[in-house]
Amino acid sequence: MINIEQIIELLKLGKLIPEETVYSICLKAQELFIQEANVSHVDTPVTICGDIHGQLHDLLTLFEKSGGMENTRYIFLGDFVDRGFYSLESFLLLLCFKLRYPDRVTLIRGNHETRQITKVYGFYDEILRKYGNSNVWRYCCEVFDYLSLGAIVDNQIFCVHGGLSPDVSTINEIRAIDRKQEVPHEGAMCDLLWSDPDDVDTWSLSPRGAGFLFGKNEVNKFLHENGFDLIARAHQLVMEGYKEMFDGGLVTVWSAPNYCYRCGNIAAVLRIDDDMSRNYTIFEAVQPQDSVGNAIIPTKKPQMDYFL
Amino acid sequence: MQTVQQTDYDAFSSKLACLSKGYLPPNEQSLITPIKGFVSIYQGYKDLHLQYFQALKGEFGGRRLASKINRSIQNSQPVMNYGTYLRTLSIDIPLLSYINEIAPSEQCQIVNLGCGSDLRCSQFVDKGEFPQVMKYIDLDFKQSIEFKQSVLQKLPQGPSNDIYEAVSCDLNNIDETMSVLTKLLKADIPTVFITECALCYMPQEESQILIDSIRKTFNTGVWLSYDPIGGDEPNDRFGKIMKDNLLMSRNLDLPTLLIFNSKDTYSNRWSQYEQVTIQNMWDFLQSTISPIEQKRLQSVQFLDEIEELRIMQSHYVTMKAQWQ
Repeated sequence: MINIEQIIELLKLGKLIPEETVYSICLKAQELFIQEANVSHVDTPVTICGDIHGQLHDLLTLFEKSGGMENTRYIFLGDFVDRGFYSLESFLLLLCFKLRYPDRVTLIRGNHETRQITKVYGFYDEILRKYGNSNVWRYCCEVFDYLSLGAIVDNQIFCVHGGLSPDVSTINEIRAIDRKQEVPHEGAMCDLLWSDPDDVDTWSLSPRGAGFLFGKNEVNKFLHENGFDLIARAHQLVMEGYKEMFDGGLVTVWSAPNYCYRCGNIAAVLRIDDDMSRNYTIFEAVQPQDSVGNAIIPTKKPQMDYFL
Repeated sequence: MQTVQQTDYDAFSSKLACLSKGYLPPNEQSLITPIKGFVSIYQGYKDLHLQYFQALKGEFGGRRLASKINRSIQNSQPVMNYGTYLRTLSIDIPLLSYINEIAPSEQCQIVNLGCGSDLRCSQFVDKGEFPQVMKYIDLDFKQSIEFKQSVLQKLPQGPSNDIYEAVSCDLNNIDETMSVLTKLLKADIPTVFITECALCYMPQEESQILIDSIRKTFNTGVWLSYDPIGGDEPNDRFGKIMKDNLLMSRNLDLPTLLIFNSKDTYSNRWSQYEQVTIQNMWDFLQSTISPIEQKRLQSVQFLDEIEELRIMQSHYVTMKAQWQ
């Protein structure tokens, strides 16, 4: 038996979790996610969070500033891993919270929760560095395949990592996707994880090479058709932490402050109360500290940060 | 001094990563405005760098260095590869354009101040395509130059000796630098001065004296410079974070990053020069690299975050100062 509370405490300290324990956590989490629909329903009050990207210490700040897992429900919009130095710990912490408080946590898949992207953007290398083999990476990727694609808050807010797809006009079409697979390079599932809102008249090619750009027309049509007020998504770095667009019909929430330890941005989460009011909490990056208050500088830097 | 020298291996491994992933070399469709001879300066470009990398392993401390470089190549991220590509072209393009303007019967000279492992000497000297280039000087710290010379000797085709010269000198010692330059170069021949991430490591006063001395000493030429700028928007914290990060993680100081924090403050140092143009690297990308090439670059690896690329590239500049 694994002791979730104990593991949560270890993870908060950034400690390495034994391979077998990770395996058990992943297996249990998978059993939970397999039961969930592609799009789950969530009640208010709830806190919606954007990209985390392995910034464990900032994730801890996020919980601190927004009430904490013990007190409120959370939706995470994906991109838990890659780029930061603590992808594994961040993802496992969220999985442990899910196991400990299954009804209070909704985890949505981001475009980084795939085998292909994690091999380029750091999660795979982090696992090799920490364990000397890729087993833990494989366990996590199995979990990625079961993460849901979206969530709906009180039938009024659609939550998704990236955005809309020309192949999706109703939620039922998302429900019909066979999600338990590696994210394809095109099609509805890919678009939901990759697309971006932009000042465009109609569906346009995305400069990211996957997904689409969509504009106010597409957003209004989707909101109207499904009876929603808002699309809450993440996926794009916003210097101010959040950004509303299209007369408040869409919001981007970004929860990784000082992204990649160099961008200098602030981060935000969005709390939706019972009256559906939107409250943003912004927060800044903290310098990771050890137990006696000294700054922790990751010693094995996985990448070069600057052009020198 | 040593911390500055080590930045050269960052630059070199970045370039190798960029080559091994296939960002570099560019091709005939890369530029919005094509330039004569653009593709041919990259012929054999990858082999040249791989040969240099191979030869470097044979040097003292080379194996350790090589494994470090190998690791950074493996971990190279798209946003960095993109930037290295842009950085390389931001010097190559104006350099080639300047040489192209000089008739083959005329002469010019090229100096790379703080050259590190840069191999432009091979691109612009060895191929015999630019008879104009009568002198090419690489200048850097003694240790860097000695290392480079012995690596270059091992290459199948090292740079031709009569044109190419590698000289050791501390750029911060302006008297020494100027006496080396005046000894090796002719003051009345058009001369290209390159500083690619070199001025940013110099104290404010020294860099200004160097800029002024070169203008006074040489009758005509062009200065091409690439450097980071700290940023001058009220909420812009990029520069401060960069300065702190580099100081903390590797004890590397960029004394003027927050002083020359904008295009204007950076380029004002060349106010004695006649034509000064400066662009941040994001604008350089948009104004120089063709849409078809941008598409190619995006597809080399998935570029996951455009905003991050914009932020980083907005904090680097390419400057060209021409006189006479």
